[in-house]
Amino acid sequence: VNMPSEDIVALQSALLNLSLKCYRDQYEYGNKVLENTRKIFDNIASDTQVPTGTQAAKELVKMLKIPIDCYDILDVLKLNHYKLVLQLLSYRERHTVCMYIINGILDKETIIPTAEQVTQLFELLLTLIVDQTDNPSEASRQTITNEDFVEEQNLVARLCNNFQAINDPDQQYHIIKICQDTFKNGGLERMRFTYPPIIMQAYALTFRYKTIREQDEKWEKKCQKLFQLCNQLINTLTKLETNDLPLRLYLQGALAASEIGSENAETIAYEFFSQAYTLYEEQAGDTRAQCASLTLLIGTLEKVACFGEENHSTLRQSLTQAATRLVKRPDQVRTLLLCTHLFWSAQRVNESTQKSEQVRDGEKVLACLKKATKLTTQIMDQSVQVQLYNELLNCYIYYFNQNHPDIDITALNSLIEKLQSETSKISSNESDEFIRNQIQKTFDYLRQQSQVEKFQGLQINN
Amino acid sequence: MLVLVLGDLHIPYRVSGLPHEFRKLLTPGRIQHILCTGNLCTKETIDYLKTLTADVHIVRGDFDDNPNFVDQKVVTVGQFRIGLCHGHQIVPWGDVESLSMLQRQMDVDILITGHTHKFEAFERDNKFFINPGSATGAFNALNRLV
Repeated sequence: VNMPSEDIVALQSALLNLSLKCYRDQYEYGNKVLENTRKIFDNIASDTQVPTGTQAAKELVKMLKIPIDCYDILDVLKLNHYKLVLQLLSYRERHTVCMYIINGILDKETIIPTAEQVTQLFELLLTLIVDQTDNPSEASRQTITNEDFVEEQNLVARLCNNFQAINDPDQQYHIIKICQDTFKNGGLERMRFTYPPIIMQAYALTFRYKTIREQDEKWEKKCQKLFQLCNQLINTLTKLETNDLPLRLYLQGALAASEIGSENAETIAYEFFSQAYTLYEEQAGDTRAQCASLTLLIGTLEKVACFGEENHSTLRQSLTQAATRLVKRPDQVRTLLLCTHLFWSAQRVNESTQKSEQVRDGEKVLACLKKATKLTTQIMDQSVQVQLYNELLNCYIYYFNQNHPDIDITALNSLIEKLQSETSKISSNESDEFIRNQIQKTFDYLRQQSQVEKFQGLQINN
Repeated sequence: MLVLVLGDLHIPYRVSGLPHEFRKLLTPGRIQHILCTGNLCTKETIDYLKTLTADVHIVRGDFDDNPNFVDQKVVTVGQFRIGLCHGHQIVPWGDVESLSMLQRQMDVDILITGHTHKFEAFERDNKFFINPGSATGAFNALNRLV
């Protein structure tokens, strides 16, 4: 038959439409149409792609969209000749169809529940997942500055969250492994997008294993494997130019391990936490990023409850010292104030009772507060200094309310006096209006509290 | 006047998108202001929020890929000063006393924070505190096991 190829496709397309719409449940009809389409092209010119931009290519794209519109993806995967027709197309058209497939899955909120189906789906989506030999753009276009690339990879990342083996954690584990095996061939620029969702899925899976621990005696070993997998994946991401993401993923892991409380939790949490700390140290050139990361490290440590005293002490000290080594004084002061909580409400495991207990080290809290006060005196900008005195006072009030043994009303009074005298020194111009207002708010609060019995003896005048 | 308060979506790292039923409620023009506690995490989601209304306010979450969002923001809606902060910067996370301190420092009537993925709405010292939780129900390592 000497029909031009685009007409052949249009014909096949119509046949496909017919079979899918009229014989919905008979997959073999649709499959046959796809098989024939492939055969026709193999006969015209075997092993040759349909050139991009041609009418035939356009018709093929239209044809491939039909099953995606008619079925959900799980049924499309039953059409095993679908991928053969997809392979006929050149890069640009394959790319279009793959994006269409993923968008279809996301719009319909289809869940893909088995490892086998995930594997089949990845076969179809290979164009987006690994470098393609027929991609006309150079590899350098695959960077985060290329919006199209970012959009495409974010789509793949979103898709991963639809891989859910409900009620079958072991199957979920297989899915995660398949994702890893597939994505590791995509190059670092793709892994930046595709690894984080599977890492988070792995953490979520450890929680699932914990809930079924009565039925699965191997749950702790399985959790261990998951954490090891995450360790590997995150380690790969450390090769990216910024450490923010792997650092945060490590901290999430430490938290997860601590919450799971499996037999190796402390080891895992310590490993992840110290990795995060190492990444923090490597951020030394970027003051803003470093300060943000240190804040996160402190916030996380305050919540990780599985460390014994030895490990916890090491980490508390490291973070506190790190706070004093930040470049800007105000950052030092503020971060030190955050560190006080590591010596107070943070928890570590008591060796004899094997239970988590709060540190409650009043001495060290006070030492941090005193150090922070000293650093504040060394600030030259008076407005900033006064603002920090206010924040210091608020911190003292916090520990006063917490019944810290060494922080009594006298301590508060002397700080109030100090703040009042420092405030009078700063000018009355507009830019300081905000700071004076903040101080006013603190004093208003204190005046409110002075009615409370605990605050008797509070000396605060106008 | 409708103000949408949401956050901790974690798209695409923990979920694939906002639930379909929720999206149906978000018709453009219906909402006047959006206050977002952060952790969206990508530009795609910001662009989507901007299709709903022009007045979108976002603060920096620990997983947002844009490091240039501010850490704190004050927005005035009607007679209210509303403070916005993700909350991972407040240690201990979710601590009510510390949040009170932040409310005083920002001098706001309503303080909105996120990070814990736990919905909260309470009054303290005559001020209002809100945590919109996670709009997508995203996983949070801190959640006690169900």
